[in-house]
Amino acid sequence: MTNMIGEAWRAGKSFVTGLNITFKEMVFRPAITVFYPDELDTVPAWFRGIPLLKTDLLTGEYNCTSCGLCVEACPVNVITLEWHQDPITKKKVADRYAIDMSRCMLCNYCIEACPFDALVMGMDYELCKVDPENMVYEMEYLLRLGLKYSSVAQPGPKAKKGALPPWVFHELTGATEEDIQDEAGFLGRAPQAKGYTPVLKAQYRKEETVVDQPPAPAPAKVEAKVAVAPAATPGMVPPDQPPANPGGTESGNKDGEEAE
Amino acid sequence: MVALWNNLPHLVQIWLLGLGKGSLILVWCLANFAFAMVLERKVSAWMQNRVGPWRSGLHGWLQAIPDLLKLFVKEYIEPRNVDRPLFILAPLVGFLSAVLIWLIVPIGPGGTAMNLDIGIIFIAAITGYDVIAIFMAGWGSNNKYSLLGAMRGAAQMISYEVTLVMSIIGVVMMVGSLRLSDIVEAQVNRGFFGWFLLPQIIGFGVFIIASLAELNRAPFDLSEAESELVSGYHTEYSGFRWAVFALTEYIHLVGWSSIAATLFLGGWSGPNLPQVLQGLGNILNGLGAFTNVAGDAVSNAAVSIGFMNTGMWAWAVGFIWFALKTYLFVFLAMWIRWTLPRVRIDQLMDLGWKFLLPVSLFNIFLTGVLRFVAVNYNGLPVSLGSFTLRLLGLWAN
Ligand code: SF4
Ligand code: SF4
Repeated sequence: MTNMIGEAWRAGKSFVTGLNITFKEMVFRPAITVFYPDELDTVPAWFRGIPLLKTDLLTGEYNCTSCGLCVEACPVNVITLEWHQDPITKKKVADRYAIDMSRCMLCNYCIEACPFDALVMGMDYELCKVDPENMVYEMEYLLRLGLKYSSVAQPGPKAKKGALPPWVFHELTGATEEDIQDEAGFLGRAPQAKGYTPVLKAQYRKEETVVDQPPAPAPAKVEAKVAVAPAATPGMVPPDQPPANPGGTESGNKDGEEAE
Repeated sequence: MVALWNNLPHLVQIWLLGLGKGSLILVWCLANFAFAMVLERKVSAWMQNRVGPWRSGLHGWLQAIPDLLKLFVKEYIEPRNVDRPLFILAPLVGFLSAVLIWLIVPIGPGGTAMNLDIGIIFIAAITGYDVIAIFMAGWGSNNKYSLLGAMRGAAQMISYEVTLVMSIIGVVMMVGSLRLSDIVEAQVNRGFFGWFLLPQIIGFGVFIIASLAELNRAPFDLSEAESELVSGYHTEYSGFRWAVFALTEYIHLVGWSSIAATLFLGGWSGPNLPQVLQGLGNILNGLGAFTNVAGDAVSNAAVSIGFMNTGMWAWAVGFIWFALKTYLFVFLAMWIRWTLPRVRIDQLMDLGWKFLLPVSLFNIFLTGVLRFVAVNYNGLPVSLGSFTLRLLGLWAN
């Protein structure tokens, strides 16, 4: 009898405790819902989205040297790489770099394998296609999306000893095609010969210190840009594309330079 | 209009009245379903820090309309070996038993469709049909999950029905009538806060637990335990037949909540605006000790809207109180559902037979003794000088 009363008391107490908890959650905690199509959530820096190709903003070359390590590393063999050697520069030029995103499992292995910091896991997540037949993302598309994560490449080995590998916290620089600083630099430019000195666009030129002090990369935008870049046009961007409107993005760059 | 009505033959009058009341009850049930279903989803969302349905109208509060439309146009999938008559009839039987509750619930002063004198017993009898509906669905589906769910549902509902009626008997002993309108009247006559909630607190607790089990709601939703039996007795149902089960569930919920409100919270009784103002004026006047301008003004306002004490106004106020109290219980059921995990079937049976039934029997005994003493000795008057305390006054009339 006492057992029954005691048990009933215990049950009632834990019952009230539970009700109290849910009531507090209901009344005092606001909803954490993100109203997705209306507002976009920001993703953390270690987000593993689509693998994208990075570009060196100083010269406009892609970082990839067609070494093929990522192709080897990919567990599901979805990376296609075709290359030839440029007879003049003696460097490998990627003819085709494509990822079949319908089978990619976003495992990050290709990024970890790449010794030249040429790949990055993008933060974009609105990657749906109207035509699911063709989920093969070609080089131009990967490069164009990858621009947002590109900066001026630092010379030397990719990772210093003890430092965080660049794929852990990749940064969003928010760079656009206008931020490619070489006059001849365009999206999808093959690696140039050793000792190539970039000819900077007018807005990046600094009379005294052109060569030995490369200008700072475009400052990272405060808000993560998550909207997908305009759809890739077939074929590369023409090299004679006019330079960007002076006064737009580059004013921010100049400010950054002077602050240095 | 009245003359025309009086000239109609008696039979026609009865049929017309029945049709009118029936349609009203159906509309009222559907409206309650639409609201309670969205409320359930909203409450669960709030408790889980979400927002719930949001897109369809008024921040999602009209979600029931697109849901029902969708279910209307969906395909009826019927497994090959079903027992067809049982399979098709089951949702309708369940729906009927849920809707019939509303026949006798007083939703306002004198606002019952049928003022049956067997009241409570009628409800207990009607909800018995729900067991049959569940078992028909489970047996007719010819599916092991459905059958298991139906067996559990039948076992659970039959055993808890006993407890449920036992817990109501305490209230019936207080009133001396089974008629629901009499029960409300008795609570009105007991004066301020004369609800049966306090004198029948044990019966109230047992009633709440047992009606949750009777409704197959979490934590007692064993007959549709989705983690064990796909969705229990309505596993094989789709389209609008499934929707009828959903309708049944929510109409049942609101129906039982209205009965709980009627039995323990005084149903439609409650102060209306003039009475509230009068009370406020009295308090401002210090109960007549220091009459002042503000108190008088409030009292006069109460007198000037005194017409609200009668007629349609009183009815509307009663209805509002009724709806508020009903939805208090609806919310309580949802609150419990989204708080507690599901119990095991043996725990459920233990709770029902070994704990709730003895407790409700004890409640009957206790109510009898207390009421006998309180009525025969006029609430055991204890004199402290000039001040007389009526012990056990709660149980006297
Ligand atoms: S993320 Fe993994 S699966 Fe996708 S391309 Fe890279 S290595 Fe292959
Ligand atoms: S992306 Fe990196 S690993 Fe892959 S081929 Fe280019 S340089 Fe080599």
